[in-house]
Amino acid sequence: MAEITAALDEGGANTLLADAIATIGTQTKSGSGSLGPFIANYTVQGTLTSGTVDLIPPDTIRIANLRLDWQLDFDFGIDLSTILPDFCLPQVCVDIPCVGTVCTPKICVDWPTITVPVSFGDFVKVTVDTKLDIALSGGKWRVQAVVLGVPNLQFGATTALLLAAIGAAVTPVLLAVPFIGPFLAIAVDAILATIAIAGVTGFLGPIITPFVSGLKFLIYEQPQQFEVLPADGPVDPKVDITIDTVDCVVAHNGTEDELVLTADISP
Amino acid sequence: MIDHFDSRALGRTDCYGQRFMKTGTYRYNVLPAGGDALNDERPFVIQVKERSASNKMNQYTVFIKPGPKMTVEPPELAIEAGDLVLWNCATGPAMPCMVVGDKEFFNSARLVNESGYSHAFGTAGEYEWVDAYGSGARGVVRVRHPECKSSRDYQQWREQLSRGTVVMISDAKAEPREVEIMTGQTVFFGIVKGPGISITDKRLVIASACARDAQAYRREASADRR
Amino acid sequence: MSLTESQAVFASVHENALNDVLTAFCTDRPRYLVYGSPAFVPATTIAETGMAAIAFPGIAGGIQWRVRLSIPRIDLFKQTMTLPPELALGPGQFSVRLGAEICLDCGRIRIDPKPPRGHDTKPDDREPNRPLPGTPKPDDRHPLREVTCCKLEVFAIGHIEHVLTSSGEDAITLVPDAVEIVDIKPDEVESVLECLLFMILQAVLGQIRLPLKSLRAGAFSLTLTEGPLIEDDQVKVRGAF
Repeated sequence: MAEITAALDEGGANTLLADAIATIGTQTKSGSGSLGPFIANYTVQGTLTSGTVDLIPPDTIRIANLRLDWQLDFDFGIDLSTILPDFCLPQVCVDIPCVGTVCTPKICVDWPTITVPVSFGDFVKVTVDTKLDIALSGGKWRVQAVVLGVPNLQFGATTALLLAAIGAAVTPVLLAVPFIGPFLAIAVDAILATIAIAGVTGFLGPIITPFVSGLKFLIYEQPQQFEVLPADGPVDPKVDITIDTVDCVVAHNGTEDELVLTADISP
Repeated sequence: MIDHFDSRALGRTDCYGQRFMKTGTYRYNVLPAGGDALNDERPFVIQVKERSASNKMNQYTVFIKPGPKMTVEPPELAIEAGDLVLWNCATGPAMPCMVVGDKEFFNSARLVNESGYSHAFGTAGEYEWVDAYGSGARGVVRVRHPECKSSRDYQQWREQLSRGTVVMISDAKAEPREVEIMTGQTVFFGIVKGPGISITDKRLVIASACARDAQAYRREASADRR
Repeated sequence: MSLTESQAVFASVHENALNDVLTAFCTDRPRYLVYGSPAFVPATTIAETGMAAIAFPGIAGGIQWRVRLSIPRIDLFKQTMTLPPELALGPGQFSVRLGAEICLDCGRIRIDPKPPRGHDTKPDDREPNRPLPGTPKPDDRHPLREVTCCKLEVFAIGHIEHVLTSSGEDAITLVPDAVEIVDIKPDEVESVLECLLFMILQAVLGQIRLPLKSLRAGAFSLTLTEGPLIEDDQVKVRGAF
């Protein structure tokens, strides 16, 4: 029989996981990814909120509707010469009084490369299974619930909204390009068609998924040399015990599924 | 966003025109805008000889090639008195530049007699232009968006691009003072007579002592060279 | 039956772990097992607790004493440790077994023949401490000074109570209810010693307050609503998360 036993019912486990997830706080990642044919540099922030916990013996904790609120800031460069055809101003001839006819040469416009900054935020919900991982490392016992596999995040309407946000972000940048005015709608449509929903999905997936995949929720952490009582003056030093082993399982006891942590100690 | 509209700094869609009324050898250089204060080299040549019997003014186009050191094609040009030479940047992107000769009249940054400046407007808006040197010459160019929806609209718009608008300036008076064009069209500013003016978007004129000092320095440097 | 029952959190500590914690406490703070007057313990240190001597008229400095206890060994209901027949471990109780050594610094008192201060008597020209003629030779059984000790094996039964530590944490303490020392004669002497050790044990064990958080090795958080209870060789608590 284990020397020390502590157990949580599903209600307690809900609160434990909610607290554990809340302590993760807001995480920030930066990098670059493919947005259709364009390379986008991004910074993304993600904040998790726990869902509903289901304890599944022998060692699975399922979190349904785990919510990830994310805020994405990215920019990508577009060489407009790949989007728009060559455009040349024709020769312009005018009659100057007392001078004669003066003509400009044909002048071809070089479409520039523009950088489009986009800011967009949304959330995604996912159900994940976690497995209990117990380890002693650096003098500390840790029990963590580790997300299994790579969740398939469903972005749904988000992709269309992000595409619209890209369109809205592209427009003012394009307006700054001389001679783009008549081609503005063509350019915006061309850019959005080039990226498309597939491009947005392909961009979001690798960026957002790491916030969930491989995530570890801390369930228990204590130093192996565990302090029973702190020092209380010069003649009362601290009292320590050693936590020799730790185990954690999901057990079905009676009618309840419970998260059960056990430990053996020595003086 | 505004179109960069300033005869002191020639861009890709700008042209500077100068008629040479007297015979002679006119040496000049093409420099980054404002660079005449730092550079006295005049490696290029316009050779003006006597006019032949024909009264027809001939126009010659010289293409400015951008690079670490700007060049022109052709570097030496032989014309007849009364002919017009037009400078334009051949390829882009180009640093805003100026054409400056060793004669005071021969300077794209300061348009005197028988000279001109053209600009193709790429962005819709209202452009109030002034003479940055304070002669009082001013006017307005209103650029309208063409609102193309169909291919026919685009075709009609492209056809209109070959039609230019002329503004003549004499003694600081512009005629017409206000013009209206569509995006992509060109306005020619012809200077008949003047003290040396610029056609500059009012928003680009820096009304500061530094700017006035810089202009005064350029005038002194130019006078010294002569 | 679930562990948590109607509560969200359950925690239990087996008697083996409780003994480990007690051992750790007594090893790290041994002064809680050793008490003595200045002749034995000049000052309180980590190893021993200094106490006053037992004041007695005529004994200069008082009666010097020392009590040394061994590390208590606890048995939670159900009983696994043998107890003397006078004690029976009932549900919800613990038994404890420990050794107690009681020492006295025994010595002869030098009698001063001079009258005590404040008394008027006839001068006596006899030499001090010289016996009168015909008086038998004094008994030299006790030397001038000698530490005299006895070792007792002490058994007790008791219950646990919910208390707070000095920092306000939920804790438990062991409260003895009855003490038995085996085979001391006459019975009255046994009763006196049992009374003495009963009071000492209450005081000593009462100072040992073990935080509930430590008894569950810091797992989860628990706001106590049920217990602490002794059953199945464990101390059990339940509460809200």
